[in-house]
Amino acid sequence: MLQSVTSTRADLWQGYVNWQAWIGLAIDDLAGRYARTLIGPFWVTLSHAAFVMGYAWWSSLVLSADFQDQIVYLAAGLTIWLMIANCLSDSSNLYERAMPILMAYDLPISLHVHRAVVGHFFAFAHNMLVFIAVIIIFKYPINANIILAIPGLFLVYLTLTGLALGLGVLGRRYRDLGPLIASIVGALFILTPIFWRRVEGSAQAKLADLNPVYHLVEVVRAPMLGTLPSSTNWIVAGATALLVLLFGTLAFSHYRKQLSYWI
Amino acid sequence: MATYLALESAYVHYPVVSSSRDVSILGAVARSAAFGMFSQASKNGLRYVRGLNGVTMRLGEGTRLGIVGRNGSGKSTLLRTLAGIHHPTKGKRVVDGLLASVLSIGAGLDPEKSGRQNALNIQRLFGIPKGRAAEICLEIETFVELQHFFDLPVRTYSSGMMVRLSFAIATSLPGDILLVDEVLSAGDMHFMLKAAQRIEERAEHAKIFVMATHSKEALDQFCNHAVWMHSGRIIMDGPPADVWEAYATSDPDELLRKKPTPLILNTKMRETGEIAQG
Repeated sequence: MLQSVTSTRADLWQGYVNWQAWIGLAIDDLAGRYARTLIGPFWVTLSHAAFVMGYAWWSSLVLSADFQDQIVYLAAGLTIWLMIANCLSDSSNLYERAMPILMAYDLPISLHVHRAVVGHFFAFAHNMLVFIAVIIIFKYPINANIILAIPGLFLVYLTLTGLALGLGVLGRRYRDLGPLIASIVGALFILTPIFWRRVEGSAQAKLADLNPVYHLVEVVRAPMLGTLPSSTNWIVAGATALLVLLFGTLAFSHYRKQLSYWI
Repeated sequence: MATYLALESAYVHYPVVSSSRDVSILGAVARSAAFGMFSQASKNGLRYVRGLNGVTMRLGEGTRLGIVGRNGSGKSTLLRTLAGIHHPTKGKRVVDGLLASVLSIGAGLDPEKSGRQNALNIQRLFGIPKGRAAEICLEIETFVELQHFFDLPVRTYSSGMMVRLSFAIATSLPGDILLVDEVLSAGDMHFMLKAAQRIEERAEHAKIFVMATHSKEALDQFCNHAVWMHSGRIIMDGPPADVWEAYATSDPDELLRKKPTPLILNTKMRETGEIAQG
């Protein structure tokens, strides 16, 4: 049973331990978005599949890249990128849906942060079906390295939790944070090697290395494709996760109490 | 541990957003870059409403408190602050015990889900185990008398039906502390009588009960002590009949000039408990 929440630490902890609640809410969110459609949340999968197919086909025609190579690279990278990008752009209106509950019950606020992050993870899991299908159809050789995608995903998940904690409360306070982030995410997409590849020693490599999102993508993508992330990848991804979590916790503890005032 | 609910010189000043500049991050950056050269009413250019203006109340077991006051006097803000929905901008809130509140009707209901699913979802939010939640749900179903509507989406409900459902859900949540805002005026006659009866039952079991009301009958029926709120402050407290009498006849602005005294009710058990703990 939940006790009344009086400190940030209690809020974070009680929100976390009541996992049935936030997982349930996240499932409701996902089902609700596709209510009254026949295939439900698999629309996520379908639109992702269409995009991956379309781009791989285009790049093999226009850039004369190897279709099979391109589709596997994209199915892995884009899936991870989408989870990060969606979290970046959705977190600022995280509390919009939660407001009726926030204004009616004395519940931990962080419930809604976990609800949003695990929701992004569920969407990611639906998109992973595209990667699995591609692997099977094109008989791409995966190997034991794929196990390392799990700690990689863990780092990404921590980063997303920090983002949602911080951007959620800031987005409630500053209403133009959402559009501001949306405009940055587009640029970030082009600057992150999702469509293009980081070639050692090139100018592109410098561009990629300076971008923390690249390292977060790479610690998941490389194992999925059977290679190993570099130690730089691990270190930068780990440091990013820690710093973002720190930012999120500080912003959350500062703005948490004001949340019900910024209607 | 004795059930206890307190506010210590609590102030709630909430911002009023009147232009998009107030809630703009670009605006905030520009303001801080200008070193306050364009400072307005306050440091960030926002206007604030004083919802609570220094309220101290310590409530112990056995408290049945009624709150009266005009519209906009701070009754709902006080209840929301006690409930932990608003946080004091200055001062603090102390709570020992589980708290349930009926503050806004229709809140937290998902229109796409049936009454039953909504009831179960809200129980899940509070971490109530599945078996117990099913029992409570059955009890809610009996109370709301919605028949087959209980399994239809809430968007098909009339407003009166929605009131019944959200009232039943809120009052079914476990708690030693029960907070109720003026809600009995919604719903039909039959429901009002049932709701009053349910509140009475709950209030009997609750160790601390606080209710805002505009009705003398409700005050007499449910409360053993009353406060009169005005301008976000407690301007009078005492037996319900006396407070109601004053509320109906005196000028609140005159009472507002008196220095406020903290409201302390039934806290003996907690104080002796604390001494025993050392």
